[in-house]
Amino acid sequence: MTEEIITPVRLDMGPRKVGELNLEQSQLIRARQQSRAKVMGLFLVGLCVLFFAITFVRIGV
Amino acid sequence: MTSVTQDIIVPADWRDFWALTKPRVMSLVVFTALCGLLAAPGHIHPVIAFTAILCIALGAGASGALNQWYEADLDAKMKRTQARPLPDGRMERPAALQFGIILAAFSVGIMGVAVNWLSAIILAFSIFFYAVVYTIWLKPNTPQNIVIGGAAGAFPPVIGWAAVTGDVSTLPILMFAIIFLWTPPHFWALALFMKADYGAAGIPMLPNVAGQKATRNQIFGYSLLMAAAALAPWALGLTGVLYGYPVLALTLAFVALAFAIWRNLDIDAERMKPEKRLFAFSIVYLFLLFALLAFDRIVAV
Repeated sequence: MTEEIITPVRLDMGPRKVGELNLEQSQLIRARQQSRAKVMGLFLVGLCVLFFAITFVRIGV
Repeated sequence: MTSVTQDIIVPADWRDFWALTKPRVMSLVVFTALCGLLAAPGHIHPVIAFTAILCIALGAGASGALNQWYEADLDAKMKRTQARPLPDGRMERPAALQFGIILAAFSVGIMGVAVNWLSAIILAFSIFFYAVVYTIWLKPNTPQNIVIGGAAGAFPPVIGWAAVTGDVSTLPILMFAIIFLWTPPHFWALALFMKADYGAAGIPMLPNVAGQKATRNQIFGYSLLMAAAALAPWALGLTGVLYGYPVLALTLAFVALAFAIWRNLDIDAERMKPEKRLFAFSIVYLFLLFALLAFDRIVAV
């Protein structure tokens, strides 16, 4: 019997590169995408609240 | 939705989209629309009022984005506009067009469904008027561009009024006339001391085409017409003394500044103090006039 050596899989949870770009360029793009996603998220949440309120006003609750 | 920064393609920042909407212009539009809404007789639920103002702001933003999409090449030639997202290369042109169209459709659609269709139709027409009639047709072709194009900026108080009442009567038409007649002195004062900038971009503003003397004559003429429109709500009994006396004083100051421009013969932009004073004062004037109008009507009710 031979002893099987299991190499643990290393999960790199740190900053990742985008395509061929270097780390600094990748971080720049990710930061831009994140800020846009946050603004869009806030906008959509605001719209949901607004539509909810408009519906209530329109049906006269 | 990208720009080239440090040799890589970077998506445009949300602040660039915000800049596309011309926030400073939007603030004046929102304010006059709010005053139109407050001056209107009748009741509107605060949620619907907020929705109406939001739609007007989004519509103004759409107009600004479509304007910047079309004028990106001209903006690149003028110092005042070189730092905008498109001429500065922070955003691609189709992104501005898509953003403008989506905002326009969104604002008109919500206005129609949530408020009323008259205000939605006027909003749609004002976006079309600014983006197509003014930006594409009038601005590059005639020195009277801002006279007719000024109508686009005069619609917001009418939309605000229509959002409450569902119709358009004498007072909103006078509010329209005030902004319509205010626009030529305001912009031509700017065009006088920014003449070189407009000339570099090839935009046929009045000082570049008809000369500075003719522009000064027109500024004074339009100021007198605007004065009549500004005092008309008081003269017709549609507003009281809370509006009448302060606006009379403000209007006299406006006409006095326009008179100083009429008498000024300086052609050096650095020494055009009356022009710079009128341009700065005209913004304060419009804010105060509409604030007083809304205040007077609220107190009267």
